[in-house]
Amino acid sequence: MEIWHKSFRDKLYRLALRLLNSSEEAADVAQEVWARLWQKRAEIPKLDNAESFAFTMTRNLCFDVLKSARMKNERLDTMNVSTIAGPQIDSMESNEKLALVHQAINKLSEQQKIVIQLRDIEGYELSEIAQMLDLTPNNTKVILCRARQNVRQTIINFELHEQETYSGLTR
Amino acid sequence: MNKKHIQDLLDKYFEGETSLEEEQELKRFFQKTEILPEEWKAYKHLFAYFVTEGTITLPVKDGIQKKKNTFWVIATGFSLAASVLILLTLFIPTTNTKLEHFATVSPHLDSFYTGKVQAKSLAMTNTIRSTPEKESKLKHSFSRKIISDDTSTILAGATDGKNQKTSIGVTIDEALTPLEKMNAINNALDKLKYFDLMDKYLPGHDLSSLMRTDK
Repeated sequence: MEIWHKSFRDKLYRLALRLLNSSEEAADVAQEVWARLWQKRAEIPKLDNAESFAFTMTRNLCFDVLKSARMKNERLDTMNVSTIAGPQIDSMESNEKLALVHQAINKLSEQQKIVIQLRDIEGYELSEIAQMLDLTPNNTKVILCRARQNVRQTIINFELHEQETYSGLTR
Repeated sequence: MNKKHIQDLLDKYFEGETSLEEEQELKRFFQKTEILPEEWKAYKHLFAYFVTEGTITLPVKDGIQKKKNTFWVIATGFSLAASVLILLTLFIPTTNTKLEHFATVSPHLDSFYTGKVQAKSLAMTNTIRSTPEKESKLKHSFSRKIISDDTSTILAGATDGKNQKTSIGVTIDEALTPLEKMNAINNALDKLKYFDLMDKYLPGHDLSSLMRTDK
C-alpha cells in the first residue's frame, strides 16, 4: 500500500513543514502520523481513502502544534522571517527569487497554504483535496484560486518595487 | 509552444481552472525556457519553486549527535562488530523463513559478505541512527553481500542480543556515487528506525508485510 512507502511519509513531512516552518517539528508530526496509522492499520483497508485520512491527520496535528505554541506565545517571537527555512538552491540569485516565493506562500492563510501544497507541489486533484479538508470541491477551488492570486500579487509587487529601486538608483 | 497558448494556460491557472496535466505543462515550459517576456519572469521562479519543494524528504534525524561524541562512536563500532557476529549466527539458521524477502533480491544470501572493512564503515553509519532511548535495548547491525560487480545488498537488522527483532534489505548499485550509496543505506536505516518505533507501540507484531527492498 502506498501509504507505507517512504515517499508518502515525505509528502506528510512536506505538508507539516509548510505549516510549521520547522523541520524538527515537522519530522515529529510526520512520525507521529505514521505511528498512528500503523496502530490503525487494521481499519485502513476499510477506509475509502487512506491517503486523505493521513493528510487530514497531519493537518490536525500541525494545528495542535501551532495552537499550543500560540498559547505559549512563543511562536510569534520565533517566527522571524530570516530564520524561516527557505529552499536550498546553489545559485544566489535564483535562491533569492525562490525564497521570495516561499515568503509569499508563507503569508497565506493556513487553509490556503495547505491547498497550494497539495495541489501545486504534490499534484492532487481538487476533489481529493476537498476530501482531505472536508470541503466541497468548489470551495477548494475558490481557496486555491485566491491563494494563487495572492502569491502572484506578492511576487509582482516585489518585482515592481525592485524595478523602482533600480530606476531610482540609475537616475 | 506559442505565447498565446501559455498565456491562456496562465490565465486559467490563476483562475484555478487548469488540470493537473496543464499545470505540468506550465512547469515544464518555465523550466526549459530561458528567454521569457518580462511579464512572465516572476512565474519562472514560481513554478521552479513548486518543483524543488516537491523534492524535500524527511531528514535523517540524528546526524548531529555523532559529531558530539566520538568516544561513543568508537565504542559502538566495537560493540557492532560483536553484534554483527551475533546476528550472523542468528541469520544462518533462519535464512529460509525470515529472509525470503531478500532472497528475491539476492539469490545467494547464505553467504553474507562479512569483510571487516565493510562492517566497520557501516558501523559508523549506524551510530548516526541509534537513539539514546533505544541504545540500551536494541543494537543495529549490518552485513553486506556483493551479488555481482555492479550490485550488492545491505542488510540492516536490529537485535536485543538474543533475538533478531527486525531486518531490512537494500540493494545497492555499485555504480552509484558514495553519497548515493550512503543515502540508500540511510533509507534502510530510516525504515529500521520506524520498525523500532513500531516495536515500541506494538511489541511482537509481524513485520513481514512491510519488509521490502528499496530501488
